[in-house]
Amino acid sequence: MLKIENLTKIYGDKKAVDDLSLHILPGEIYGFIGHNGAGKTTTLKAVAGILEFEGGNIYIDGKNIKDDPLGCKKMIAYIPDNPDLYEFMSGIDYLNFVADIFGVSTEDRQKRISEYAETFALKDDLAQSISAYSHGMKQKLAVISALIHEPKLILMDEPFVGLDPKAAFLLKEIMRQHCDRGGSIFFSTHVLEVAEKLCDHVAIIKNGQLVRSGTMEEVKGDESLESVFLELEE
Amino acid sequence: MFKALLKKQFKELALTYTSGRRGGSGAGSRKAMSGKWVILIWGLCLASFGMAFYASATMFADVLFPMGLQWLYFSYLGMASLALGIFGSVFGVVTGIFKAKDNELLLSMPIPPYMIVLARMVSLWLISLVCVLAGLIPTIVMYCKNHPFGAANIAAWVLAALTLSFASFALSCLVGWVVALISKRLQNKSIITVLLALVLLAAYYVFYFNVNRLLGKLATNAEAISGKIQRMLYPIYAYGRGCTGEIVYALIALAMALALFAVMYLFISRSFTSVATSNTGLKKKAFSGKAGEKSSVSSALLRKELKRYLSSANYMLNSSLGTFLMPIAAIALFVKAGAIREFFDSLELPMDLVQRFLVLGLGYAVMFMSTMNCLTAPSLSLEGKNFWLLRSLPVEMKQVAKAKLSLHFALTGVPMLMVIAAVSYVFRLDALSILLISLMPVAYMMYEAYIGLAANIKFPRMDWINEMVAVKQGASVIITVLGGMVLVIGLGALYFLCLITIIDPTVFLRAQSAVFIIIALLLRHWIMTKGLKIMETLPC
Repeated sequence: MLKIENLTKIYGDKKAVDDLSLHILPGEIYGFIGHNGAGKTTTLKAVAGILEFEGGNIYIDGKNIKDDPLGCKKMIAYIPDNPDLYEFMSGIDYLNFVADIFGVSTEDRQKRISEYAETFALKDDLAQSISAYSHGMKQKLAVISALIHEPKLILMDEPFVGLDPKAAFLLKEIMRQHCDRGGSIFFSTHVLEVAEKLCDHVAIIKNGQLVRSGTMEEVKGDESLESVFLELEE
Repeated sequence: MFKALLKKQFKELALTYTSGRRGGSGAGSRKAMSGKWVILIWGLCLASFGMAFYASATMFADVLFPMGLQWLYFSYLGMASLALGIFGSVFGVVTGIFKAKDNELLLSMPIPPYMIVLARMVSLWLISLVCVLAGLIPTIVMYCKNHPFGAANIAAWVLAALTLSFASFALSCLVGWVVALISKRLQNKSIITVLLALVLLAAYYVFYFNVNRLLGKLATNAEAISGKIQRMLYPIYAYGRGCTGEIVYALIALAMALALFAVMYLFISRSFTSVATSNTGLKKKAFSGKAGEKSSVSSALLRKELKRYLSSANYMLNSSLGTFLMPIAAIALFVKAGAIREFFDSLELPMDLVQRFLVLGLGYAVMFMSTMNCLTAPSLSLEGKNFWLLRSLPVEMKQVAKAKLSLHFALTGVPMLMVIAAVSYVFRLDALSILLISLMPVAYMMYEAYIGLAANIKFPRMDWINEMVAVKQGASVIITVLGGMVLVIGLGALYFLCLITIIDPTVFLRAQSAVFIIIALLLRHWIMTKGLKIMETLPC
């Protein structure tokens, strides 16, 4: 589903991502952890097609992001850590906008918006301007907008920040269901307990370089993910 | 504590009017316009107001000085300066005091609200002072041309500047407080700001175009009018007397202005916390449960552009004043059609002169009205921190660019058609003349759309904190507006100074239109090739 080969991104004289390679299969939830400034967001943005990179290739379902960026973007949904949404729109306007861009039919969007808005308890607020939303509400709206067009690959940068416990629980359920249906999720998080319980695979990045990756069992063994992470950070 | 607040306030003001940068490097901030250009633009705007004031001062001086009513001269022009001060600072008051983004942060600290308000007021008062001086200085210059002056006059004028600035700022605060209260209860808060701006603009133009009638009344009823002002509008009378060098009156006027300012300050500082932080009081809109019909990508993008436009009073007023004024002009033309025809008939101009120059003149008039629109110039910058959305969605930058151009064409073209229809009706133009007077405005509209977008692609300001930076201070806006003015005036001057006897006006009209169209097509080609590639690499 997602193949990152030797990805390199340079800002000035600093390598934000250095020769990173990852492979995510359909049906996998892939966690991406690392210290602040390790290169997680840069990697996610490069995969989302919003950041150019100096070296390597990124393939989404076999398509190269450089050769066919639109084709790749049609298959993915990207949720940044701090979703700056169109505050001049209402929630429903924003969802309709995203649905129009992805060509979601009227019936499908009606069904999915109702379902997900109900799930995340956002239905009563969909008619309000996004400028009136709290951070958590914006996060929920961003998640709904990601799910509305049933992408093959969902990219999430710290998706649980700002979500209330119920919404966080529901998001984990939805992530699992998405992958059980054949989709994939690549997300970064600082909440290692969530990563441990949720992820099929995990990659740890340090100073732009991949230091460990594999299945959760392979990476953490008998220890906790937190211990492994802290050891690698030393 | 107050010094720290003032320092922060002045730093914020400087950033707002120079770069407004969020910080960091990248294409979005690399091509920012430096502060000296912003100051130059401000200077040009104030200079143009100053010249208009000087012209008015000349007319008032011619009537009032021979009657010995110098104080009335200062009173009338002082009130006009006051109006300019209010207009210049009222929008800053709304955004700078009641809607400042750090209100809640400062209120959460051990800072008394009255101190927050005072610090904000000091920095905003300076803007009032600058606007007031734009009117007062030409008034004084005209007075000095006709009268000797001494130290008492100079001292009185310094007091006059302080009087007008405090009075105009106090009144700005009152208007701003009302606007802040009303807008809290409106879904679309931009509308109230746009309406207020249009009302103030209309009042200014009504005064400006009725100055001659006013002066006529003054000439015949000066004593009665001055008596009324003295009895019923004592502050204005005291101000006028003070400006002639009578220091006691100048001090009385200043004391009254300071008292007004003090009252406003006390009132605002007491209601500040509730106005700045209370919930909107808006009724929550109920979601109907209906998702919405599917539409095309281009419709979705255009709808998004329109919503963006309608959400921002700054964008509406600064980039599309023509959209509001052209329909008003069209209605005025329809209503006054008979009077306009009578006026032109009374001139008894030779028919061939009318036929040759009317079409050119009307074409210029319509084009001039549309020059107030430059919707594309800030449109890319206004994406700001939302640009990641368009970059992450499966939309081509070409589609994004087309949506921005379409908005400009829709909001400029439709009002323009209304004016062309009105002009055609008033002057009973034939089909060919209608086509000719439409040609130049349409060509200019195309030119302005493409140069605005091209300039914004080349000089984006994606990292703004204050929206005004993107709307008013970006290099793209300066290039579009000033560049257009230079081109129009330059070509016009070339024709009237050098070519008027050689080239027929309608031929010149067609040639000028061709110039605009050619430039527009070249810019379109650049946008659709190199421009789109640049858009794909803008930071987000």
